Amino acid sequence: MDKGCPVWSDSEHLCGSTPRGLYLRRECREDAGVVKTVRPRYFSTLMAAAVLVAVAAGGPVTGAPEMPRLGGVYVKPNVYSEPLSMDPLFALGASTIMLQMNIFDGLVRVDPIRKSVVPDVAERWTHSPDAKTFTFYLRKGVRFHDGSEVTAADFKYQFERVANPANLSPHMARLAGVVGLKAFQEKRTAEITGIAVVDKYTLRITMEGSNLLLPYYLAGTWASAVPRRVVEERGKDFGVRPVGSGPFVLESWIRGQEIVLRKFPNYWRKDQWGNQLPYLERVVFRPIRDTTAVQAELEAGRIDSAWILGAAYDYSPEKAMRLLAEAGYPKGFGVKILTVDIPIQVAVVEAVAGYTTYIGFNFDLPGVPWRDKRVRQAVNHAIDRRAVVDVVLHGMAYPAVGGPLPLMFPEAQRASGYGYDPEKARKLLAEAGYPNGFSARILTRSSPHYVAMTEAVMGFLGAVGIRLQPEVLDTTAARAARDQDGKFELSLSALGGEGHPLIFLQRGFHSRFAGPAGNTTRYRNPTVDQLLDRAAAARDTNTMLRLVRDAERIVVDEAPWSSILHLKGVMVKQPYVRGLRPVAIDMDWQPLEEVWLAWEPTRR
Amino acid sequence: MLRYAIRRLILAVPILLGVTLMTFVLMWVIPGDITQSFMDPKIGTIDPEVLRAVREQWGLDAPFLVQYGRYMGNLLRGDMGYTSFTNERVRDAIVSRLPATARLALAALVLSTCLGIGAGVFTALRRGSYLDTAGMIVTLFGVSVPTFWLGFVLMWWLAVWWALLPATGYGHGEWSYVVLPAVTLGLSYAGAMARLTRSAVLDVLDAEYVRTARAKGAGRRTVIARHILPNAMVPVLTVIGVNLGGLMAGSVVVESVFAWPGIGQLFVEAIQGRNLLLVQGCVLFFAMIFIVVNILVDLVYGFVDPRIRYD
Repeated sequence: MDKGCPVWSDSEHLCGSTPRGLYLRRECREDAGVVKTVRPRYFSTLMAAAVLVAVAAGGPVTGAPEMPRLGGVYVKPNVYSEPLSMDPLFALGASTIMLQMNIFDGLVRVDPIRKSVVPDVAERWTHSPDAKTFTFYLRKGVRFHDGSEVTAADFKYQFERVANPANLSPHMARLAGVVGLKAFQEKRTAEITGIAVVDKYTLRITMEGSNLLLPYYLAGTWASAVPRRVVEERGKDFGVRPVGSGPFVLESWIRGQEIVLRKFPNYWRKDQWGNQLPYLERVVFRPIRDTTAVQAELEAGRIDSAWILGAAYDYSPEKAMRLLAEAGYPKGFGVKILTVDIPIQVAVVEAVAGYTTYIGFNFDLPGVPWRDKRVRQAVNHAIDRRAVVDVVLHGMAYPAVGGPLPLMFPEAQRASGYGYDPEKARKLLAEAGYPNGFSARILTRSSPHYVAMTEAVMGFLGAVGIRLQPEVLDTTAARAARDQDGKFELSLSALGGEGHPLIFLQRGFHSRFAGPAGNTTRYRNPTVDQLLDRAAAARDTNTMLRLVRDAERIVVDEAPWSSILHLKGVMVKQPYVRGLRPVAIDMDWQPLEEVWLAWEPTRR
Repeated sequence: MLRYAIRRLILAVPILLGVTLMTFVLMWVIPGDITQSFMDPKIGTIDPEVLRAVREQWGLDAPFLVQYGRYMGNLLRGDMGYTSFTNERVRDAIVSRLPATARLALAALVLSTCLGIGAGVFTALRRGSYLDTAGMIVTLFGVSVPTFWLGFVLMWWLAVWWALLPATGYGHGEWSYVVLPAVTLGLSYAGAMARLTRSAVLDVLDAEYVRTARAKGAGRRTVIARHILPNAMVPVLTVIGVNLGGLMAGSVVVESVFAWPGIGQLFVEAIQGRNLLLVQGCVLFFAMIFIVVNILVDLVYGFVDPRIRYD
């Protein structure tokens, strides 16, 4: 089996021989593309040591940048369940979103690196000084896959589709606050008056109150442009045969077997050198849900990348760490490139996690110890987060020492004062009237890293007298028990996936979201509500962020959560894969138009 | 015989009714329904009001008996419902996965039957020898080893290390893809089959007609082929039939491990997504397979053993 020795890109540079010298590497020319590596076949069963060149945080290495190579088929596993429908009306489930991102375009999108809203079909937008009216200016010449042009009317059509109660879109409430929404939903008007098509390429959205975050809300795939004619012609079939304006066209979808996307040759985006995007000819998504099978396929070289540990992905940390240890993966930030001769050649892309894993206290229960703030603070002091991260998750996370906000937000506090202090925890418990602690049940999921984290937490809390009894349910059942029924005492959960700290705090702690909408602890604090409402209605960003910080300070002090850690997002990829981005929300939600293959892999 | 078959089919109706009721009860007891898939923490806030509206529209807020009654009403009209937001019917979803499941089941059945009967006859004829003992230990291993473990071992060995076969998937129908799942599935059935065949052959070995055949000077091969095998095969046949049912319905684990696009995989996804109608559809399908296969096996008895009559 020959593996090429490539010319590496500026941020991913590697050439040289292995320290083990198990095979003959003839030469590695930086100018000549592929150089063969000759190796006796039987060595392929040996585990060879890693060759590692770590490049700090994407910093360039000498040499000209590698030009993207066009074409090629990129194969990745779909670790999620089959999409329910690809119609943006139902932007549900991780696999649906992953595909919709690449088939459809929105007005704006969230940049995975900068975590800010960036232009998509709308090349720019402005808002009135009171932040009530937003005007989006669309690019000209953006085409749908059927050749028709994307116009402002297509966005208005989709927004009204979503808002129409008859369509039962779960995103119905996303446009809350738009002028005329209620009248439209109650069928008093035929359109949403607050969404105006000024001309073919200008869309104006008017809100009842100031809402600086509107672009963040519009970044979801539910707000994609869809061609009205095709949607009406295909009806429910549009979910199986979607037409968008994104970089890829859905070529085929054989349920349970594969989903194939083909390059859309008239996609509007070009790269910095003026090349037409996307680079890839095809992308194949193979539904492989078993993580061991994903790993086997990766090591057999039959898939090109895999997200190995994320907040919503059940991958045992031991397994992940073994894979990474074999690959010589050191702790820390940044984009690293490494190859392991056999059996895997992997490179790792790592993202700062967009999630916070926390212990939530159920505030709806009467007469429980944790209604006393001191008890919640005691729990916060009792857990050694660093130890949980190092021992249980083998460094695959960051300890949540700074309160609830995920680290992807630059606004996140870096320290809150809840250091590991079991003495203080015992003292707080005694002050609250529980010198001998108390017993409680903790709801958790059955995935390996949740169970491991629960065990660790039980140990730490047991040491200060809080005796926890675990209730382990599968993910769906645990969520149902926690969200819909509210039948839990404490729960180990994760929250994340939002593009803005204010939206995160609203979801987690605003009383309006108490229950299934995100505030699963049912925490209610009028001061926090008011601060968050004022932040949401702020007319400038500085005021907004100041109010967000004020609200966060109260939340940290009141401790409705005991934040434990932020899981890292880590992608394992074959060395020829270029252009993967560290997407904090979900490493599998890659904008694939900029992904390319440095050389044609030999698939077995 | 036709009357017998019809009677058996009529008797299957209460069984199927019981199956639907039991599935409904089980799905009712597990927390969560299909709208749970809306609540993925990554997707952002879904307004609880919207969820309520969706539940109401889909009839998920109705009491148990009303929901069950509605389902049965539709079922009797031949409507198993839709899988999700697209127009796909539950029936179509299951039918579209049938070829993959049938392919895997048949491959595994052929493998397990050939291996099992071969090993069973071989060891029975060498009763008490080292080969017999060794064979029985190997088959014990086959019976005891869990399929998911065997699957992963084979996958790592044959697909990753030796790179002889693809690890997972269906490919475009190439036979190389069916080998690993079929071997995994087949080996677990082959062990039981070998042990059963062995004891069936041992029973017949001492029978008077075998002794008579030998006494009249029939050759060893003739005795085995003409006298031992046909008579030993009656219980084995039952097991082959039951195995076929089990293979069609019971490849859930193997299909999941090898990402095989069959009904087992569909079933697992349906349960995880709390897709009640799809779960019902799969369970009904599995039950039907078992009933039909059992009736067929009973009918085949009549041909194999002329003493058996259905009147």
